[in-house]
Amino acid sequence: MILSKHIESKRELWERINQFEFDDLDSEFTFSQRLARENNWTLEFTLRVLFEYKRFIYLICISDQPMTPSDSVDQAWHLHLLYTQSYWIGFCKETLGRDIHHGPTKGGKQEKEKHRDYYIRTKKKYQEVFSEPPPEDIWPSEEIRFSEIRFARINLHRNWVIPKLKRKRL
Amino acid sequence: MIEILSKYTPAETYFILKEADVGLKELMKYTLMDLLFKRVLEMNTEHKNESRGEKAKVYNYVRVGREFTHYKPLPHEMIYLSPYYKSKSIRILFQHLISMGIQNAGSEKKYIQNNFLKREEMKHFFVSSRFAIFFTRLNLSDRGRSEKESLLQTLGRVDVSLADSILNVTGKGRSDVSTIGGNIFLLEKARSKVLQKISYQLKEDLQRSVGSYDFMTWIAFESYEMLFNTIFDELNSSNTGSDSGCNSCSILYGVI
Repeated sequence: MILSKHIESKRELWERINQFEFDDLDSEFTFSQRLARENNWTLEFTLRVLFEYKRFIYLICISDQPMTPSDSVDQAWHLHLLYTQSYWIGFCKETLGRDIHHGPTKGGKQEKEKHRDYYIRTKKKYQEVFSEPPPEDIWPSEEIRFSEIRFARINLHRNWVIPKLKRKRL
Repeated sequence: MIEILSKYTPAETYFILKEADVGLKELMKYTLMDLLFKRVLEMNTEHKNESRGEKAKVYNYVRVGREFTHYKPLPHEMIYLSPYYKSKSIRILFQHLISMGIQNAGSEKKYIQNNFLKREEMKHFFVSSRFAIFFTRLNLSDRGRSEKESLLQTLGRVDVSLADSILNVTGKGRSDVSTIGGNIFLLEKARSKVLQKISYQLKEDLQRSVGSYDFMTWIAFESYEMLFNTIFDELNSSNTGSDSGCNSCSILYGVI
């Protein structure tokens, strides 16, 4: 991976994060498969999101300012937090050497503005550190990130999900 | 004459030789083995969990190889290559790569129609009625039959000559291997010897570039096929287990 020069010294940390494995091969239903199923993602997209999640965590570790993930990356983070042994022991303690807590928004206009700014900053930092722009399908524009926020857990045994007709974006 | 083999990937050669009567598994297997063979992708092995005193588990990862940047992918290879074009630094578990390949292929019929039959070189080799297409039944055209015959003859000749000369892969032997590429997987007699040689060379290259390479966990080329078959069959076997439910494990942590 091409890391910018001033980040080169943190290469070891990145290598540790990149080598971290979410999936236990003894499991018949792995972390990646669960993440894919719960979000109705393809496995390819899921694996790419997990890679972006690792990059996001790396950005948190090397920055002294708060960072905000894209929604897809946030979903990976949420699920990882549920695998407490993997997250707190394997990832935070043994891989990062520090605890990283997840802070949900407190709601309201000010919070929205704050997270919007963090998100823009995170994407800028991403480009600076990894020498490439964050992939648009996983890290969408801030307009999409903070407008398409209505999600629900749906029982697919009892319901169908039918996509809305695409509206022309203004 | 041997150049005819450089026109096709092993999956395509196999497709013509079997007159399209092939399974998704074989097409996917030859495609992945060929990408590893051409070093578009590279596989390495890691041991994990040793530090926690648990029994070490072996994880095989696939990432871009040294030829990735210059390689022009064929449509049927994109079921594996697609994530690497979007995130070049990503590394993917071998199991996941196969699983993802199956998902991206869609189905045997879809994979064949959207990739193999649409390729310019291939589409004149088969004839089919609408009804036959529905059941994925294809027949070779005259051109297809002639190409199949040439492929069979060339493979047979190369197989014999390489089997005799491969113990020292130099000169013509080396040039032949480079011309026929991944079609080596389709040889009967020479295949094992050639792959042993190439695996050894690859291992040496990796040791030179990576330094302390773990030889004990090195997976030779010959083992890829076995590994692929095992994983593919597992993925396709019926899964009747439960994938819902959770539990606390605080007592476990108390002990640790």
